[in-house]
Amino acid sequence: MNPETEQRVLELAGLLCDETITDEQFTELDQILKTGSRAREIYQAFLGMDHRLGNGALRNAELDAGKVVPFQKRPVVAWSAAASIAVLALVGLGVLKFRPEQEPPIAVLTRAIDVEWEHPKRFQAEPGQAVEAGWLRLASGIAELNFGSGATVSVEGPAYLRVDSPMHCFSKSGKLAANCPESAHGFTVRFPGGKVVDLGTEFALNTEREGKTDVHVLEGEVIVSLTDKDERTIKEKNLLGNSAVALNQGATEIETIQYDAAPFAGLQRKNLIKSQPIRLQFDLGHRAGVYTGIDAPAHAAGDMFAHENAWTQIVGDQSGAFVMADGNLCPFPIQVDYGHGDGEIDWEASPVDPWGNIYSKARGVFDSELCQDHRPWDTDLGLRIAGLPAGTYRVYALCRSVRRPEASYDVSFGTNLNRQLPEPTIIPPMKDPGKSEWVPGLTYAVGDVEISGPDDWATFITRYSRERSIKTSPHHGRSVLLGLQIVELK
Amino acid sequence: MPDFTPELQAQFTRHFAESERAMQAFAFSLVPNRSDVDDILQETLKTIWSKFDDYDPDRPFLPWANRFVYRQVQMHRRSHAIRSKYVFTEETFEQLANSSQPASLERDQVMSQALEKCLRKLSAKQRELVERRYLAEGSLKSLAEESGRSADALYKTLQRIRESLFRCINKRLAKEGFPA
Repeated sequence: MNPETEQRVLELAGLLCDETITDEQFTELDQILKTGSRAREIYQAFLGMDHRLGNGALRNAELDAGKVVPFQKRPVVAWSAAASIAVLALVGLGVLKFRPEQEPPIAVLTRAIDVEWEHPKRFQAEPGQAVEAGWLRLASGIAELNFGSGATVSVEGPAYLRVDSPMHCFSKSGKLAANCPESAHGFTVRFPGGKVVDLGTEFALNTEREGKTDVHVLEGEVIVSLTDKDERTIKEKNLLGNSAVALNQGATEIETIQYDAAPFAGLQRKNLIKSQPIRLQFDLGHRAGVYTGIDAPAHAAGDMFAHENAWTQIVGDQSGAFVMADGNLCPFPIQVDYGHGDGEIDWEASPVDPWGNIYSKARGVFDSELCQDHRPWDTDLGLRIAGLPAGTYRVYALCRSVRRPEASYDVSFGTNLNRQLPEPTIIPPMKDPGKSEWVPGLTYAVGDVEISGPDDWATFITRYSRERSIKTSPHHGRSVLLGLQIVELK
Repeated sequence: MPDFTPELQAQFTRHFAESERAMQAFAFSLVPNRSDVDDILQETLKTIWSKFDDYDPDRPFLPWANRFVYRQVQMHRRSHAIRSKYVFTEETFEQLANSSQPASLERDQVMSQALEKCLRKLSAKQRELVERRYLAEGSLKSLAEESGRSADALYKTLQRIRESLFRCINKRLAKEGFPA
C-alpha cells in the first residue's frame, strides 16, 4: 500500500470515529478496506486506539503522571468485568467522573455523631475524610475511625487521641472502644503508662487525665502492659473477655478491677450501626455489575459520605440481609421487588429479553435485565423496597438510559404505589448530552417517601415517554433503572 | 449451560476481565458505534458464558471469544439491529472479521501500555483537546466556543494528534516485537 492510501485510511478512520464522515467518504473507506489487508490492519489498529482513548487509557496515563487524585476508600465488594462496563457506561454519559484508587490513608473518619472539635479552626473533619497521623481533640460527641489495618476505633469526647499508624494510636485521655478484625491483629492502643495489644477482639478503655487507664475486654483476648517512661514493659498480662484491669502510670503492678461494659455500650460498633440512619444503594446496572463509585447523586447532594461506597447488586427479586452503603450489614431484613406493566404494575412480573422471552431464572450476574426491561416502550418499570423501619426516606433513582440523553421519562415516588401518580414528575430530555454533573430531575430523579413500618413499600416507578423524547435513532428508548440510593432522613 | 460453580465463574470472570477491552475494540472495528458495541458485548457475554463448557483452557481465550463477537455482529447485521448509520458492505465486514492477524492478549496489553506512554508525551494543550473529546463527549463544540476556533479546525488538530499517537504506538509495538 502506498503512503498516500495509508494516510487516507487514517483520515477516514478519524472521521468515522468522530461520526463526521460523509456517506461518500464511508463508501470510499469501505472500498479501500475491502481490497487491502494492510489497510484493514491500519484501520483496525486505529479504531483500537480510539476505543482505548474512550475507555480508560487517558485516566491510566493521568494516574501514573502523578496528578493528585481525590482519595477513595477501597471498595468493599469488587466485581471486575461486568462492573467495568456498567461504570464505563455511566462515564460515557459524562455524569460520572472517574476516581482511581489510591493507597489507603492511615485512617478514615467513618462516623461523627454530635461531634464538636476542640479547635474547630485548626481541625475539622467530616465522615469520609482521611485522617493523617496527628492529634484528634474531641470536645464532645462520638467519632469513629476506620484504620487502614481494618481496626475500628470509636472515641467519645472529651478525648485526646493521637493517630500514629494503621496499627497504632495513643489515648491521652477519654473513652474509646476498639474493634479489630483478623487483619488488625496486633493493633495497639498506647496510653500514659501502658498499652493494649489486640489478639482478635473488641475492647474498651477509659484514660483519665491523672494517668490512670481502665481496660475492659468485651470479647476475645488482649495483652495489657504496664510500661515505664521509656515505654519498656514492666509487667504484662493476657486478658480475656468479660474481664477488666486498671493501669496506673508509675505503678509496678496491674490491678484487676470489676468488669463493666455499660459505660462503653454507646461506643460499641454493633450499637453504633443500629443507631445510624439507613443508607442503601442498589446497582441494577446494565450488566448488573457492582458499581463501586461514590460520585453518585446522593453523594453529590451531600446525603452520603465518600466512604459510603458499597453497592448491592440486584439480579431479581431479592430479600434478606443487605450491605449498607458504608459496608456494614443492614440490621433490618430488606425485600426488593421488581415489577412492570402498562399503567398497573404487576409485581409478580419478570424482566423480559429483547425477543420477548421471560428471564425465568437468574443465572448469575450475567442474565439480569432488571435495569432495562426489553418490553415494548409503553411500559412502566417499578422497583419497591420493604423492611425499612418507620421514617422518611429520600430515594435517588438513576433512571436515565446512558445511551439516550435525549430521552424523557415520567417518574413517581411513593408509598405502596401500584401505578404512576396522577401527576408524575417529568424528567425532560437533556439539552447538553455531555452534562458532567448530577442535576436533580434531569440526570437523575429524586423523591421523598414516608414509611410507617416494615410492611410499607417504598416505591419507584418510571416510564419512557414516547411523546417527549427526542428521537435520534430508528428505535425508541425504554424505561430503565440503573441504580437506586435510599437515605433515611433524620 | 455449564454448572454455575464458583470456580468456573471465577475462571470465566478472569478471562473476560482480561479480554473485555480487546473484544470491545474488535467489535468497534466491525461496527463503529459505541451503543452497538455495548449491545453486542452484552449478548456475546451471555453466549460465551453458556458455551464456556466448550472452551479449551489450553488455548488462548481471546480468539475463541472473538468468534462469538463476530457471530453476534453478524446477527445484528442480519436482523438490522445496528443503530450506527455506517454499515460496512458484507464483503468488507467479512474481510475485517477474518483478519490475517490473530487477536492476541499480549499485543492488546502492550498496545495499551504504549498508548499510555505516548499520551504522556503530549503537550498540555494537545492533552486537553484529547480529554475534551474522549472524557466528556460532545464538549469539543463547547471548547470551540470557548477558544474561538471552529469545531472543524479542532477536529483537524485532534486528528493530527491521533495520527502522531498512532505512529508513536506503532514504534513502541515494533520495539516490543509486534509488527505494526
